[in-house]
Amino acid sequence: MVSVQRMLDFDVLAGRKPSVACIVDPVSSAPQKTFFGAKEFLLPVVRTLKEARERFPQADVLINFASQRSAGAVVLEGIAREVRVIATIAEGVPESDTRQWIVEAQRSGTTLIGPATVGAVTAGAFRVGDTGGSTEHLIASKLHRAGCVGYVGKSGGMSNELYRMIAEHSSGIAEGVAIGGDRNPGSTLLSHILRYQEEPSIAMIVMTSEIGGREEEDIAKALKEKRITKPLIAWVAGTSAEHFPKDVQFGHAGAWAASSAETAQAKNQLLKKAGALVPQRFEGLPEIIAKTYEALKASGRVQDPMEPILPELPSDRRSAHVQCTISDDRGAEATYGSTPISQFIHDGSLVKTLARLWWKTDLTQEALTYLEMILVAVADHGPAVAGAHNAIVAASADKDTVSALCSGLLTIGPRFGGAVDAAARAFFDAHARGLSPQEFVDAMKEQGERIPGIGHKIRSVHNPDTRVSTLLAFAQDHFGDLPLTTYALQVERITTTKKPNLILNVDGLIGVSLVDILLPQLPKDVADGFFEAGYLNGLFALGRSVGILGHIFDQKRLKSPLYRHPQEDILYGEGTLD
Amino acid sequence: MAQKPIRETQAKALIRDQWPQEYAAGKPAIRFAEIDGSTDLLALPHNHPWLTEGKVVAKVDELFGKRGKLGYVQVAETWEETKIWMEGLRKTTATVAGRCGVLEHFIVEPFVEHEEELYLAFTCERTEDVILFSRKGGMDVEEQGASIVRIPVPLGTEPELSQLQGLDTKLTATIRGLFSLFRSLDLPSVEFNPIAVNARGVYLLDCVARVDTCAAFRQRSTWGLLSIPEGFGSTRTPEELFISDLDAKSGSSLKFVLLHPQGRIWTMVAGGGASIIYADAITAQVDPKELANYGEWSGNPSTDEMEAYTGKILSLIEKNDREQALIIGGGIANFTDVARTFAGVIAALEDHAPKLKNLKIFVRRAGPNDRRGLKALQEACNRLRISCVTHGAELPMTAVVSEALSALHLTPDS
Repeated sequence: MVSVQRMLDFDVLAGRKPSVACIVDPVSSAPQKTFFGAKEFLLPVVRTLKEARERFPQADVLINFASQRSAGAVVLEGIAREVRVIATIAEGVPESDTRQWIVEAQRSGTTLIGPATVGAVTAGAFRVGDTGGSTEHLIASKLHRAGCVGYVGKSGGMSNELYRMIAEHSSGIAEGVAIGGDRNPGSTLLSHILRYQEEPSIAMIVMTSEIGGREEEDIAKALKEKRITKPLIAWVAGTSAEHFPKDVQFGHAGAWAASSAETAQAKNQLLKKAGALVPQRFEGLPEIIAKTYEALKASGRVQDPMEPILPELPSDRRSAHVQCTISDDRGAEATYGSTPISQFIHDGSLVKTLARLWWKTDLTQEALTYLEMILVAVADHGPAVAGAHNAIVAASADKDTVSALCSGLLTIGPRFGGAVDAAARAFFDAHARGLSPQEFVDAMKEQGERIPGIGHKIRSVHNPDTRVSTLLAFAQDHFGDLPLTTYALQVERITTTKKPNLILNVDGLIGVSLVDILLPQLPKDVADGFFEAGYLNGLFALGRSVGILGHIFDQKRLKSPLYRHPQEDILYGEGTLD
Repeated sequence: MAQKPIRETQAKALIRDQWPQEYAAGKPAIRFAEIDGSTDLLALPHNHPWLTEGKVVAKVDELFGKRGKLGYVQVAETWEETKIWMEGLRKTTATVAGRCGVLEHFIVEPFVEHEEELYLAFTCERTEDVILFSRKGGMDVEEQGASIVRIPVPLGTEPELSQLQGLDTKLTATIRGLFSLFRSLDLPSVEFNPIAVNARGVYLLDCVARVDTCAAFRQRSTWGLLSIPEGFGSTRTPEELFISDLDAKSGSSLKFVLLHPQGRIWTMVAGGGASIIYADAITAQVDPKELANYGEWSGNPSTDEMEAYTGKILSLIEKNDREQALIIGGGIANFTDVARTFAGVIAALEDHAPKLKNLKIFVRRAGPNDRRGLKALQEACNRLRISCVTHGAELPMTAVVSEALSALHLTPDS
């Protein structure tokens, strides 16, 4: 996100801490590499606004980069979640959507900026997205430190031009907002002008507007009623419209006159009559700004600000190619997480080390014991299963130990040992969707899919798998509520009435029980990708490596000759009957 | 994009086809024949037998108002009479409110005997919808004065029609049905003037509606796929159509309106706001007829898009034999990459350079990578022997307009 980086660069120039708390991205929660000055760091990314609000309650501004079609849902959720300010960048939002936002925002007290804008900036304090452009222009427009002018306008692009103009003819802006070029922008010019009127650090106000709409009538009224007493310099663009031989829709959706009162000429005249400082043409703005500022200075109301010393931004920043968040070998002693390796050696527990390196956390003693029991349970299952068989074939071909191990491990996948994650996810999703066990079984049947984690080639209700019963007994004794495991057992009760071998198999039990036991103990960023990362299949691979290596060593000791599959055990072609 | 008016036939077809079931009792009787440039008038009664069964009303349907006063409404005893009237007007050129266009579209409806004419309109305010109603239909809303009843309907609430005393329930259902369509179809304004009521039903004698083109993506099943007409007299040139197509396919904004093909000042200004200010600066200083076009590009278009956009404008400049200036203007961009977008401008210039005999280019642009972009453009023009001056943010934004005007020896009007 270039815009996020631009905001952080602004923060460095303004001498503040990073202003961006997190990025909300519905499709990824991988943290974003960003720079703060010369330092690279990972900016948190969360999937939902709900999570962002919970984890970063201090962040009260939402910058909405969603597209025209989805911007509306984001704004309404932001309002419902009581975000203080929501700035929407998208252009082309339907008018009825924005009007609904306005009504909802009034109820909740949310300030809306946009849509169809680049945003806003508080000089020296906060920048919305790309406002102010590149670093060079930010500095030239003096956005890194506060001036005394409040600016509000419609156009996002012009706001930047005006910041520069104001900086060159006064002390620069204190705050600037581009409300956007739509017919009904989320906030009005007047609302910001009135805010500037109340803000003691603002001495004068500049506004630019465009042909279309009648808000200037409200501003003129506020001027006449003395609700605006600070000097207000104003210009309404679009005087050319009357010279056009045909209807021209300007680049902004709201920039068209529905009646003569909405023309630029009429509105400039109205503002001037009400007491605003209105130039003859746009080109007259700098002179009026300079005159107004000089007068304020002469009266002692404002003074030229001190120019701060600017921190340097590195011109060439390169992202590191490799990142590591689990261990560190740079210090006197290597660490797992932040704990010295000797501590783990002293404790002498493989599963404890595993928990730290895999999940960046410490688990309860019961959970560690349970994990170890799982590793033991899956360590081996005889020479006939795919993994062991492959390793035996490779070892008897006199391949080295590691190659033979790999050959065995490579069989682990959806049909062999690798169904743990899939089983966990299938039960988890069905349970989360509120499907009853019967509905889940029916739904899977309707889709013609087998339920992962259910069924065994040999074992059945009459001939139960002791690995399952032993693990289950421990889990039930030590961990209290096991909602997903209970759910899976209810499913098993249904499936075994159809066929006795449709039992919850060892993959299934490990999957569902670890969702119950392990998942709640994991840190948020680890838990997020629980099903995608393949942790559970990883456990199987780790445990089974012990058994596979056993088979390899066994074959090496036995000096087994090269394995050749017997021909009579192969059906050649389509087979012959004679 | 923004609000755009649609034809009476389009509006009435929407009302007829989308009428909400819950107000079935109030559904107005809608029956019309639509005539466009290709309609065979002789064959029309075959599809609309009622045309030959009584009096008919025919109107020009070209997105302008006051048709009665302009003589573009005809009440006829027979279809034959109407046909002759339409044939006399069809495809003729007319000038309405300073805009010159061709009369191609007509609407013909059965004549309805009635006594009462009503006025009804819906418009959008910032936080409420507004119903305007009057018993003096047929007059302009400005002429209605005190007779008009204004009923605000806050968003999210249903209209309170109790102010409209003495309305029969059928008409109340019509108003509710039309209002519900106004909201659900993303129509920012609709006006029915007049509505007629008789013993048999409710009739929309006229209907003027605008659609919010930003909502087209969710109105695909209603009007989102209709061809939304240009304003009267705005037949789009092939160049305008090309760029509008480019714009529709792009996530960025690329706008172009041809104003005076023989004008001497062409503009390609970045930014919705800046483009207005450039047009103001030019029309304030010289005869507006010298402004050849309105153009605007923004939202960081790709190099290819900029090449196509610039190329199309250069093709128009080539057709004009006068000495011309192209102003590539803009403010200080927030995020549009100047070097990347100018690479497209340069590519188009390279393509067209041999034919650009009478062109001088004036550039003022700033933003990310501006120095690199300005330098590349300047060097390309030097290489191509095209007269060109480039400025960054050091020059006031519209000062480049004065440079262009003096280079063309165009003296300010004032």
